[in-house]
Amino acid sequence: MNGKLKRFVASKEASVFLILIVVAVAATLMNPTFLSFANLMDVLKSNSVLGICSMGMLVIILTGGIDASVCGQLALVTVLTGQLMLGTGFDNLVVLYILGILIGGCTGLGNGLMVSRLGLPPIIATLGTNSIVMGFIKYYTNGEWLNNLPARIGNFGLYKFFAYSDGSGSTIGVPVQLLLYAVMLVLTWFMLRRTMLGRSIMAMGGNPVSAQRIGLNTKNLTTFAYLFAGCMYGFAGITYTGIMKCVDPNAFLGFEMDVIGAVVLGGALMTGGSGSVLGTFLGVLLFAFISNALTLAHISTYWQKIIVGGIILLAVSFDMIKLHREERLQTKVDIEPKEVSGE
Amino acid sequence: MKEHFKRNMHQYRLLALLGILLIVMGFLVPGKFLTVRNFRNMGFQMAEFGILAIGMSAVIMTGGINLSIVNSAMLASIISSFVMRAMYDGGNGMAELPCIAIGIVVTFAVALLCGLFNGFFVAYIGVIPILVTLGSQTVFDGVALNITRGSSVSGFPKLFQQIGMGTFLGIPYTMLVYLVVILVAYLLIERSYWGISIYMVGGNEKATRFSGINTRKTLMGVYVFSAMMAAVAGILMTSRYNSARADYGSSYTMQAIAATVLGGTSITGGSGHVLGTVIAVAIIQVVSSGFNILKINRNFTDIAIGLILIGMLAIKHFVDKEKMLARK
Amino acid sequence: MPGAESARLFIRLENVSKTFPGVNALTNINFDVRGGEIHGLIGENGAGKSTLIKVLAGVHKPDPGAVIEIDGERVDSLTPTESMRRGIMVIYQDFSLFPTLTVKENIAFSEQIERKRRLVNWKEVEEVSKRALSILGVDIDLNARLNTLSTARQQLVAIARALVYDSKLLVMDEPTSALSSGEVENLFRIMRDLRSRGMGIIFISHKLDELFSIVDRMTVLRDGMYIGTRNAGETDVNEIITMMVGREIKQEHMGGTNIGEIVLEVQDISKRGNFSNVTFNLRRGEILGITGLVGAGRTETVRALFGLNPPDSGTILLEGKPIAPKSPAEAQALGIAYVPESRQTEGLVMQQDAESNITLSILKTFQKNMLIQFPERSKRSVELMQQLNVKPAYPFMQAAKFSGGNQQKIVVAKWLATKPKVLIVDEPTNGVDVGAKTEIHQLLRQLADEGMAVIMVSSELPEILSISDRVLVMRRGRINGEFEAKGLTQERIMERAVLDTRRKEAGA
Repeated sequence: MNGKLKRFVASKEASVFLILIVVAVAATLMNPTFLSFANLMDVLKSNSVLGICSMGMLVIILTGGIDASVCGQLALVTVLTGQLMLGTGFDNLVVLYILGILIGGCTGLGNGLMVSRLGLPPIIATLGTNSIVMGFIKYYTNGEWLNNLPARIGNFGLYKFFAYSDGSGSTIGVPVQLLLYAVMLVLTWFMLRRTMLGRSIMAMGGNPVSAQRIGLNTKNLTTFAYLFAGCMYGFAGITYTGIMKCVDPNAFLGFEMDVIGAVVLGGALMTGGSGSVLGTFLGVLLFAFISNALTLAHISTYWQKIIVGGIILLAVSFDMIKLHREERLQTKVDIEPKEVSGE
Repeated sequence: MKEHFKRNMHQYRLLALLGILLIVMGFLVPGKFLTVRNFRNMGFQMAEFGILAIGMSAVIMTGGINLSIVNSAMLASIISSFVMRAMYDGGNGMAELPCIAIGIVVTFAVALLCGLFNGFFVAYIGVIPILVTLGSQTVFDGVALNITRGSSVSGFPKLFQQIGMGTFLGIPYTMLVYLVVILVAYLLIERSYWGISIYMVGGNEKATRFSGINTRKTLMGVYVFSAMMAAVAGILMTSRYNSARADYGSSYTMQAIAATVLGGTSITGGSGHVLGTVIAVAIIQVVSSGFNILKINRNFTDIAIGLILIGMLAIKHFVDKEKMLARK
Repeated sequence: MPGAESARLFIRLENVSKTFPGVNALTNINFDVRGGEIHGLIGENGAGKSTLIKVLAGVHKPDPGAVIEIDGERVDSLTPTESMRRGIMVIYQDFSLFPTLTVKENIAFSEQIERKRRLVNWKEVEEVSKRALSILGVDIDLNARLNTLSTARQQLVAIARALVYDSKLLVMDEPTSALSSGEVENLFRIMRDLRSRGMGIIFISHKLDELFSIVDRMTVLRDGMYIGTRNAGETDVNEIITMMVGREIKQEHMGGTNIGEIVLEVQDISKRGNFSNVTFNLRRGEILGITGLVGAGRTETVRALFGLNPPDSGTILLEGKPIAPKSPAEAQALGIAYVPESRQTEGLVMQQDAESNITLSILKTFQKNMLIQFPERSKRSVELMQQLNVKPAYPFMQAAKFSGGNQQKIVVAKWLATKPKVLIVDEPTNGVDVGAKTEIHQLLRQLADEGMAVIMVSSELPEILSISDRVLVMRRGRINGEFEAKGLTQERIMERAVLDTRRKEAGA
């Protein structure tokens, strides 16, 4: 147990956790509302979509890839399901979620096949997908919002567990999105930690050549990672529609940076094989806390963009500087001690 | 001679493709495509896109990527627009020419800062270019939005519009600027010390550094060059639209990458030619302009470019595989 | 040889050939390994050892007509999983481990795949890996991430993984190349132990003395062909070397004829974790050989002179003036050149042509009016290629398409172009064929005789003995012996490389 604790303290997750606490304390000192239950729940609710997407991105980054088509995939899911709801009044949530996962899964599968079978660099394959999908979305929607969706989806988005009224008219409780996020967290954790599939992805990300040598089908593993991510985006897309009660085809422009940023802040390495669900969760929280703290401090959303982008750059720079330092100080030769001892 | 042909094979193939496309378009819409007017129109648009693509190509030749090239163009344009507007003051301020001159200098200065910013993180810290430029994209965009609150800036001297709209002997100024940029870029990238070191760094950074070349300077130079190209493109765009806005030209990033790859630059670095990119730009321009004349929704251009990019790389993958098998 | 002996055969290969388009990598190989023997597989680079291993591992499919028998049973198609299932485990030079996974997972991972597990049974992983490590008799933290371990310990993890697999044949590709002598001893102890448990081991190594101390039989390959198999007790180093190269190598000492004044003085330089209290000097016209075991700090020391690995303390004097290069560019400007150990990763830009590579170090000199003068550059590169006899002398050919020896000549040419005062070469004939090797030796000698000062780092003692004038032996980051090369023997060098002589002196 002691060994475990020691390892945690030395881990990346621990340092993210530490920064998280510092941000939380600073935010609370600035504005005590930050630490209120209602505010925390709100923060988690509005970042649940980011959190769910980050699970997908994490798995892709573990393979050493990257996904620049988060925006396109989310837009496709929300627009197509939104259109279905508008056109037919269809409002069965379970079927909608399944549809969303299917749509996201299809685009994810496309990405995965391009990367694994056609040998495209992930950044190019996904940028290409994004361009194609966004072109289609713009053509299809003309950039117009889809409003007046069935009431059920909006009501679902407002649902809270253990809800009680705080007297001033608003209800406080655990938002349903938090549960959805938690389910996806556990699912991804289980996949990565307990299944051979997940372990194989971790192994492949760390050393693709060895993975092939011991007989892993690296092409299929890579494809699966993108497929898995697509499904996560699909799930996240429906959840997002529930929160917003409408569909904005351009809502996700630039969102991939937030998602990649949260995963990277959570300690995952872009080279693959290194990263964890816990770390990514902490990364999402950190991302959410910083944004919320800036909002509470009445800093404009534009500034938030700059600050968050800057923090991500600083975080990855810090990692690199640390790595170079370690490399420089690494003991390459086991030098013989000067004094002849013991004789 | 044979050597020359072998080395530039890809460019000849592209030229042939361009020729075929022009002929096909000529047949599809007779009397509309192969006209002076249409070529002049293409010339106006092609310049800014082509210049951005050249800026992108240089970065990709080192094995990097610049996802914030358009954002640095727009940030530079927006800041210089504010400066120009303030100094011109609707005609009450400074004279037109000096005002424009200052505007151009400011554009280059801001772009330089953007380039140094990217270059610093890539060359001196060693962060991977995707992350750096994805991050700087957010930062540049954030600054631009912060200044403009998302709206467009205008109110420049009348003369400024001439840069993007005017012609000389029937040839658009933008086209002339483009030609000068192509020449300068060709000399810098394919004929200069720095340019050769770009290819070497793209092929093997370590071996190049071990040969006594300051590869950090090379890399820094590439991001600054890319930003300078962004500045030129930004000036042309601002002038053509007669305004600057944070989200202008957002689809150029993707198109510039596509043109670079289509032009024969390997995405892993170490190869490529300026002229290859230039021809690829012309091909993409013909496709999008053709779509326009054929009244195909302009969003299909984005789709077509995405497909071209993926298709090109997929073909390359299979050709390389053949070659590998043949060699073994 | 029928009867009792063949009954103990674990694997038998007959008539195994492997052709890649245009190349015969293996031709009619016959090879067998018994259970409970350590079988050395020897051959120069390119002799076909790694192709043969890959056939055993199921990575390469042999050409039709090959017979593979495992445990007396004929196997028609050997895939990687099939090979492992039948008990063959290859430990590649890079170990093929997973750096970001824990020790226990690295050990038990392939076994979990073998069992077709869908969910990881962590308890089983823990037990299995614990058992494997206890067989080896080593104590490694099961939960440590692999990339936090030393090379020697990672190797033990790789061996433990093979044990878990219930392997019957362990193939070890140059397992000692990254180990210190103490670690080698430990490895050999484990190998002997495994042998006594009935496991067959194929041991690939260049180090003949090591081979003779552990193997039962050895098989020599040359140019993809089977040359012969010998019992260790019935042969000697000379016979094996003859089999490897096809003829007796004459060792001739090529001493310097024109040794002049001191060019470089290295005074007591140290760098934490790299080298310590290194002092030596170098004269014009002299080849100074630096040898020692891998990991003795040789490369680290010479890199310090080239600005790649600046020392923490001490002084370096070049022609009497103190220098402290901080980058290759600075070192080059001072007149120091360095031909690195690895051509592929540090020496050449493989995808570029010979001309760009050769002239890279002097690229600036072709600048006129800001532009590179290509005709001049071509002229110079052809001159250099001819001077070094690079074949083919075709400046537009991609560096990757030249043979190893010619690639090496291109790297040397790149540095000769700068007309250096001090030329440092690190393992100059690594992976180079015999003919090119001699040429490179003659070239280095000639350069020295023309007045250059040369430092040659090499693990190959015959090379060190034949062309250097003086020899430094490094051991654990320090200089542990300095000799005149003339009359020096391999044994005396090895003694200094392996033993702590100061301890001896102190004891005496």
